[in-house]
Amino acid sequence: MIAARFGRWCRPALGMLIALLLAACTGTDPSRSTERSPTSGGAARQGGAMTVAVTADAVSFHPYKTTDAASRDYQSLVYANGLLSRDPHNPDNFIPELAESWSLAEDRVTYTFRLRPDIRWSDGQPITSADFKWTFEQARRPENAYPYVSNFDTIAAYEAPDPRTIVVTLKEPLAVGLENADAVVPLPKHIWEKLDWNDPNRNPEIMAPTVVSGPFKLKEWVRDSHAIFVANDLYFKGRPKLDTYEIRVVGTPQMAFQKLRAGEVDQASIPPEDYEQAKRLDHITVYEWWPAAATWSYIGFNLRKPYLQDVTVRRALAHAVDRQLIIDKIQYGLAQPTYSAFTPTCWCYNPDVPRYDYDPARARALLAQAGWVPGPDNVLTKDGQRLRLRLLFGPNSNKVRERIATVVQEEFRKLGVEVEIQGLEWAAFLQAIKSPPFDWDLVVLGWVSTVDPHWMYQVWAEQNIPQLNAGAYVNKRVEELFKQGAREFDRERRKQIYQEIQRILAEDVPYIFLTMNKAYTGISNRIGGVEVSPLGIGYNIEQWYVK
Amino acid sequence: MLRFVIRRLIQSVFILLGVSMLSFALMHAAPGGLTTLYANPRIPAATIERLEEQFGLRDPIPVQYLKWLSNVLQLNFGYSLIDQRPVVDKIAERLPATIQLSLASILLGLLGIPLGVYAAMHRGSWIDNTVRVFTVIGNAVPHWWLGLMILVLSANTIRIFPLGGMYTPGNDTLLDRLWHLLLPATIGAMGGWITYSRYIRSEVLEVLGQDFVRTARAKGLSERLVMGRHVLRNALIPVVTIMGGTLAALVSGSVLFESTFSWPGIGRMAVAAAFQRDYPVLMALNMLGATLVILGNLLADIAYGWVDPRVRYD
Repeated sequence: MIAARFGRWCRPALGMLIALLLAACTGTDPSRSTERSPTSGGAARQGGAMTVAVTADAVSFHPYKTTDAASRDYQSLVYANGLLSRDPHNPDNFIPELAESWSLAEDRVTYTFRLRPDIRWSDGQPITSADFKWTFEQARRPENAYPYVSNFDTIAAYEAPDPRTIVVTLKEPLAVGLENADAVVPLPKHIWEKLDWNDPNRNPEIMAPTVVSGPFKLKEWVRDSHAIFVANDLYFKGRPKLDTYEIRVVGTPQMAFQKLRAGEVDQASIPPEDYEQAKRLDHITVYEWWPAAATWSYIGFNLRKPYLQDVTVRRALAHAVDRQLIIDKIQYGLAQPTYSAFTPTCWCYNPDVPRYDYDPARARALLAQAGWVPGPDNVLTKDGQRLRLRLLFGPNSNKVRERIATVVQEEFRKLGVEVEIQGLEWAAFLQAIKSPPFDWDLVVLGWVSTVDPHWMYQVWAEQNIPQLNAGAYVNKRVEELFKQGAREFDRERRKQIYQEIQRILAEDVPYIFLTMNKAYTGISNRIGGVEVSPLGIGYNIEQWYVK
Repeated sequence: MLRFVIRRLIQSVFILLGVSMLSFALMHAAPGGLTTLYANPRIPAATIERLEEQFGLRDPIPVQYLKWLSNVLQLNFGYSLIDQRPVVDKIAERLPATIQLSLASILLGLLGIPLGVYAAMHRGSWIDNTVRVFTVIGNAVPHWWLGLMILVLSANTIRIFPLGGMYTPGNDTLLDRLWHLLLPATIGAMGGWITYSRYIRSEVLEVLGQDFVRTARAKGLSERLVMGRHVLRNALIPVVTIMGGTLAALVSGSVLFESTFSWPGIGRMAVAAAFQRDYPVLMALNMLGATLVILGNLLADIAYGWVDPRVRYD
């Protein structure tokens, strides 16, 4: 009978199932430490493994071909950052990295760097100025298509007079000259000069670097699954305390947090909706900081539209946005309001710029002043034209931006402004805002600032319309001020310049500045040595240890 | 039969050609380009143009298509636009993971057949009713969501299952892989249980009512022979046609499922390639899927002709 046949093989199958379950329950995950130390105490000791959950895998280890954040993270584990790095506790200042000292000549364009005496690649060969110069020359070649090759535009000459000295000459004196001169992450010339710079099929170092300068070496990389790094004994800051650093690629941010919660990984980012829960967990610590390189969001105006060219209208609409509501209800309190082109974490921040606080009555008054009066169906009209705005946001999977768009639509509707929202897939969104016919009025977007305020000039420059300056804002005074700021070496005078820029931008309202995000991540209490700074937590990864 | 197969193969070539043209056109009709370049505002326009030149993206679409086609006919599927690795390598890297999961799901899903048979044979019993309720609920619930709920529950109560991944890095043993495969394969098999049990149940019920079954019983054959030789053989015929789709299902991973279980498979790769506009990878995946669908259906038709002697092909 079928039932009997079923029963006959049912038992062994069931038996195997039970065996598997038992193995699962009793077996431990060997990548976790079997010791569960108490949360406090524990001296910094050598050894141990740390596992991190990430949601995006890197593209490659080539510093001059990749632009995504995941690739940068992997690269920073195996390659030292360059001559200098920023002081984590004072981000405006630079501290030695591969260079032990530097000086600027009287002409204010010639930077001389002296490399540390005993820095080595992981194969024992010394890191010399020849590596830097060779890398610079390769990265600069047009056929190598380095995405950020424009970083080199200010460099007139890059010389290596002796193995421990690098002399970089800029075209003109710049306040950001030091940052400019520290232009390359060096690659080992003695390995790479025999290999193809571009083709990963002919250059295995691109996908699996074997000779490195950073705290870790790559041991294994299985795409979209995991990457295992082991300590580099020859790291110039000293061998990391961790033996192994493992990155696991997880499918969704929610699963990453679940893994952290369950103790399967030691670090993961926390989705905003789980932040409160994460703070209440005993076995992890949520490290948080306000980054110097801030992520901030805004609503941009398309200044090509004649009805948006009236600054009174823009100011009115700015008064209709409730930042506190956005922070409390949409961003779970994990942000602070911004009113300026530079955030409070920037040294040049101007707290006294004109602010457009949430004031719907004032918004209505200003719109009336500009000639917009309620029409028959309560929609504001002027000269027979209705105030109907098209708001774009992208990607359409970004819930925060979608909700901001919805809140804005509702607030503007109360004023009598009709807003049509469209969420687009990322690539489609970029094309929509950056190519003719520029058929949009408002856009919800964000920027990640640079530590030095100078680089944000690109966002306001006329020549960068529409690539970076999507709204087509033109203000020659602002551009002139940015040029002055780039050349002003005196910190106080330089600050004045950027404060003036902020004042003008706050008055002109090309953007409605919204909020700046708090940065935070969850790390298991079994890992010690982590200290937050405005630059984040990864700056001293070689000092992290397993308690 | 041979003429039938040859005719179908020739038709397949034209179908594949049509699919490739349609896919290519649709892909390039989608707005936006290589997001890795366009999404990054610090990349100067000249660099973007140079890279587009290099990738042949500035040629007119028909020219690009013909270049692609001539390469494919020489079995060269090109290089990924994102990391310049050969497309074939990238797919070959991810295919085993998806095939393992799909194969395990399909094999476990075959348990639906005995389930359906049992339900049909004991029609009206509590087992039959349970199976029918279960299939309705199981059809309504998204399987990736169910997997997610079980994972989250498991993470917060008794940690039975690993929270995703194919194996524990550093501990790649058969047992470890099976342990990681258990939950996703079981959830994936639910589709099979539902489909097969419902089909089989209704088929068996129908066949059981046929005259020849009554004849067989009247002849004095044992119930076992009646079921095995007469009923099942006829009831399984439609199942053969369903299985035509499983060949393609083997390699098309579900992106939601793979994301939930952090499974490094084809589904996630395909969706990422779509968002990044990695055209060579997308075309290769499309052609792979189309080929397998055609092949699967052809095999199903052949099997159908073999299983059911009333069906004749010429």
